[in-house]
Amino acid sequence: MMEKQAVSWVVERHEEIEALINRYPERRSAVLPLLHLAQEARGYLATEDVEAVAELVGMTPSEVTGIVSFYSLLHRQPRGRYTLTLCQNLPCVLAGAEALAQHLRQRLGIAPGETTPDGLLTLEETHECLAACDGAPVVQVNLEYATHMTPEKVDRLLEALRAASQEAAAPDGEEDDAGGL
Amino acid sequence: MSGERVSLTIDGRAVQVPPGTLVLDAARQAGVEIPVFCSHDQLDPVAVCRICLVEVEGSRKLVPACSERVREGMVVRTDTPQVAEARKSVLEFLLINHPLDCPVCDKGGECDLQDLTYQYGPALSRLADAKMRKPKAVDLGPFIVLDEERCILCRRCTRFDHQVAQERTLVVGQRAHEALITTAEGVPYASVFSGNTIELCPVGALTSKFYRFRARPWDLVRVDEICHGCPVGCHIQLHFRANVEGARLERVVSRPFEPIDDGWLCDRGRFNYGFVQSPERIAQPLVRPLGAPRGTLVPTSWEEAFRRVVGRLQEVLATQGPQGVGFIGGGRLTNEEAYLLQRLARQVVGTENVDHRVAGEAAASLDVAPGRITDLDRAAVILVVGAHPGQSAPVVDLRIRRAAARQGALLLTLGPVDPELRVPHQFLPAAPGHLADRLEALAQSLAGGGEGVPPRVAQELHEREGLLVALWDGREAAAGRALAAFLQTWQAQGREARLLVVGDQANSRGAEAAGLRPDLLPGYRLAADPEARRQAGLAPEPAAPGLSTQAMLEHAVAGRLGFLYLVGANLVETFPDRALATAALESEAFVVVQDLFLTETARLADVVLPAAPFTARAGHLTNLEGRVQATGPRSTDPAAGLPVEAWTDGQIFEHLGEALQGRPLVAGAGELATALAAAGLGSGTFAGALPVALLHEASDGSPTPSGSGEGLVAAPLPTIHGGGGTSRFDRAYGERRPLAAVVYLNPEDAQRWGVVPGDRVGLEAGDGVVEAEVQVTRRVMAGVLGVPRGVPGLAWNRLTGAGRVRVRGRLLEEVG
Amino acid sequence: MLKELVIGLETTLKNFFRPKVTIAYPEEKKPRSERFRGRHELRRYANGLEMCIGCELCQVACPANAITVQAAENDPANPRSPGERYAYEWRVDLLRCIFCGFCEEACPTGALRLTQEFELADVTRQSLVWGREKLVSDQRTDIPVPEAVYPEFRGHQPLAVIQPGAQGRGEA
Repeated sequence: MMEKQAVSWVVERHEEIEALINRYPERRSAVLPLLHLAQEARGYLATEDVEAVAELVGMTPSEVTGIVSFYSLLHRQPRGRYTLTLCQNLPCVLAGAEALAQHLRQRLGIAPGETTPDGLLTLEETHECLAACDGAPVVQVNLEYATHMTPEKVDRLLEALRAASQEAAAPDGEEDDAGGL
Repeated sequence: MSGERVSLTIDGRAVQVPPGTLVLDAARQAGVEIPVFCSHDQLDPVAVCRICLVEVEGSRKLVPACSERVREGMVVRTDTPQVAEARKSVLEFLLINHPLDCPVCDKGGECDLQDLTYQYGPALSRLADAKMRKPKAVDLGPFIVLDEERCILCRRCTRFDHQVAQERTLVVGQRAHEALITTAEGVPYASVFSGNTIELCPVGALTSKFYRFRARPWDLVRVDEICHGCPVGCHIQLHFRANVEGARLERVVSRPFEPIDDGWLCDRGRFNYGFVQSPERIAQPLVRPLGAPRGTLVPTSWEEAFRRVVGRLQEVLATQGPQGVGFIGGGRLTNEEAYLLQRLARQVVGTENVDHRVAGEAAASLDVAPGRITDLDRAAVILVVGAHPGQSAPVVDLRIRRAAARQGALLLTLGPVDPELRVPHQFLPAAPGHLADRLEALAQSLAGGGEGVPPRVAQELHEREGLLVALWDGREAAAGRALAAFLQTWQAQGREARLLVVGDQANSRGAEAAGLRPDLLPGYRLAADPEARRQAGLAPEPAAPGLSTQAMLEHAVAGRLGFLYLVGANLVETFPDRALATAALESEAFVVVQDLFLTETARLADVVLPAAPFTARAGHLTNLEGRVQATGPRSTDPAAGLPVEAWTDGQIFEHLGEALQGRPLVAGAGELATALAAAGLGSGTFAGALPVALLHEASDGSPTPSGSGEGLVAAPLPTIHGGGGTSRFDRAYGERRPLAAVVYLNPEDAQRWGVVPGDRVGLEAGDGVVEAEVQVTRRVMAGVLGVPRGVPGLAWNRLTGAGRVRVRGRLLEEVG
Repeated sequence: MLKELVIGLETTLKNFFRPKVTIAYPEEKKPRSERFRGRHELRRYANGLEMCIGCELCQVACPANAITVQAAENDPANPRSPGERYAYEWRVDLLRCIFCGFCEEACPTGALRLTQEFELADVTRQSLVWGREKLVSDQRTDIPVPEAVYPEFRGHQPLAVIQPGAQGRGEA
């Protein structure tokens, strides 16, 4: 068997990992926190991350793959800096989410599931309710909600996100969402 | 059955069952049928399919019968409108995205979903939208194609992989309607037990690559058989399809028999069946024309072939006497055929030179604490000595995995290479030729001493109460003696011990019991015992002591053995000393080979007799625990469609016997059955075992590595998908499981010899160089080279026959 | 005596002017019922693919054991039928066939049809065992492939890399 190269986050964040594992009576309970940690480190979960987590918690890569695929917030592919998730459930559709979807696809020139070539935005459409029907139609930007969206407001949102990312291009670029919109 | 009982009524029928019984099983006992998909006798309940919902008085909702345990006074109803409605709804739900492509589905006709829908389901679906599309033919592993659309997510396959095989490769991925059976990225489902999932699948989602579209269930003629792949003796069923050309063996399925296989089969047993109808089978007897060099063979008739064999045999008898004749082989024969062969040798030819051991093993059984396969279920300690159960007795390995992982048995392995067990265990390295030393230390540790035994192991061995089951591969006579002593020490401490010996071939134990050893008559009676000889109708004194396989080959090389008869024995590939085997076959001796294929050995023969495969014969096999099991009836030789004139091994022996002595070898089937029963091989009984006293070095075929200093000692490793015959000549099977010429090194040795994993190296042994790729693993102890047996292109027995092996460094990659 | 002759000739004369009941076979053929069952034919879809999927239901329905079907997997580059499976071999022994039409009824795709053709005499038994080369029609029907039942077969695929939402969401 080939000796495997250690994944960088496993080495760099060794203490954090130990603390996470020790938090639970069973090693395998730490699988989700560790996956989040790995995703934070790389931006998505590469095959080697899945294998590293599996080894850390004493599971097989298959079992960890099953878990990763269950959760829609764990990604196996590189993502844009921001993920726009457009709700396509009934209340949002009634409030105009379908037109919004058309608009977003056109503005970004990508289909749902794809990422813009500049790596800034990933577009997602979900049929599962985002649980914010009072603000329909809803667009989720990473973990925050933007409510009562219209094509114009979407355009402004995109502007804001572009601007934020340019700011972040400065050396101490911080993690920023589209808060305030 | 003892102890308390729980009374309950199911559909008005009173039934009493032990506490903890599932409602489903109680209903079965009461004669009430409850439909199931996800539930399976051998798997833990999971209650995901919901088809088994029943009404229980006092419960507001319907409960799944497959996971609900019985309670005293429980009242269960399965015949109410609510239950009928629930079943109908569950089926309608399961069928929403099921493609209903039954006419093209392999399972159509034997499908649980089809049957239960017919019985309980709605006639029409209310779904107006198009069904969801998923990939139709996904390659899940070497033998399995997954149809994701058909899967109903019962999780039988993943639960088998987790709970029974303990491998945890197959999982359910995704969520909800997108859920599917999968593995980790880039990891095929290549378990040795993968084929079982095909049978477990209640729908046609998991299909066999070989059986795909070959037949429909109603086409098949079903014949019960015993698997001939290894000495476990699993119960199987052969499914033939008759067509214009004749019968074709289309698939092998299990025939659950709890004392042995629990309904599981390994992939070798399940998928390596194509050889019986291989176009590479020898079609006609072949002879070497007079004066032609070895390797030249021309087809001839059976009459001519027999004339050559008998003529030459009589010549050798006249010049060299019976000592100049030797018979080797028999581990693949039935008990009956093995008996006929030894009778042909001893009574007709008058020689004691018979041996079934073709791969350097010392014994196929041992009369110390004889065990049964089921003993593993209640073992507190399992000690694996030299054996690689996952490769040479896979279905037994499932029991070991279960005992270690789920019943907390202490699992110890002892030998030069740690077998690939999927469960936690302790490896006690022991160099080839020194297993006995290690076992002696282990025995001493039971009494408190024992140098070199890890303290934790010594303590565990000291403290564990209960049964110890040892598994030995029958190699190294000294190891056998030491193991016997160890087991006796264990027993002397008031603890139970059992021993299982994993023979090299499917019927090694039957061949041994039938007297295919130079020192034994049938029934484990000593060949030197005048009384036993008299009863067997032999002269009280053998003309000369019988020769073992090794001695016969040496005599042939020395010109003292002029006639060598090999039965289903590819010595060039299986005998630990390839140089000796080849030299013997190339000597002046007249060599007769009886086999299905033109193996390396058969190519060097003077006469080759085409044998028929196991399907064409009836008889008995003796498995590794000594159980004498009837094989299937004499069904058919599927090569009948090909121009093959094969005879069964037994027919050939009978014909030869009659040609030599002018009367039949045995008077009839009755006499044969009586003789076998007298030898302890009566149908349904358990055979005797080899006396420890016969484990002497002269009978030891494993060469002890000579010399010291620089160099590695080669340790042969059994390979489940490899071998000298059936797997090699089964094209389709070989393509699915390609065997790489790989040897295994300990990391320390790799460093010392300057090789890294993946290097191609030259291995110098004796006079030759063997090329192979190196893999580095801690499973191999330092100073040992793990060499897989039966891999085409890797002559393992050139490395084991000639002392220490030197690694000649990296071979330069050829630059294209 | 003369009287009897006259009576006989009277019958002859009467029938002489009646309309004829025989036809000049083989130049002329009797009209057959629409439901007439002659020899078998395996039809094709509008795009030329064979309708037969080799399911063997005709074989099992046949009360005379006249039909033999052996299926095989389609070559995705050169499919013979829609979906994964096609009839690699389809044979009927027309001497055994009793023209009951059960096979036609059992056929789940409507591939099998008994034609109006009944002139099946030949001089050897073997020549009346017809294989697919004679039975598969060279005409196309105007029936389209039911894609919902038999999707296009793209061959064996490797296990997909799992990505939530990336597959199977086709809203067809």
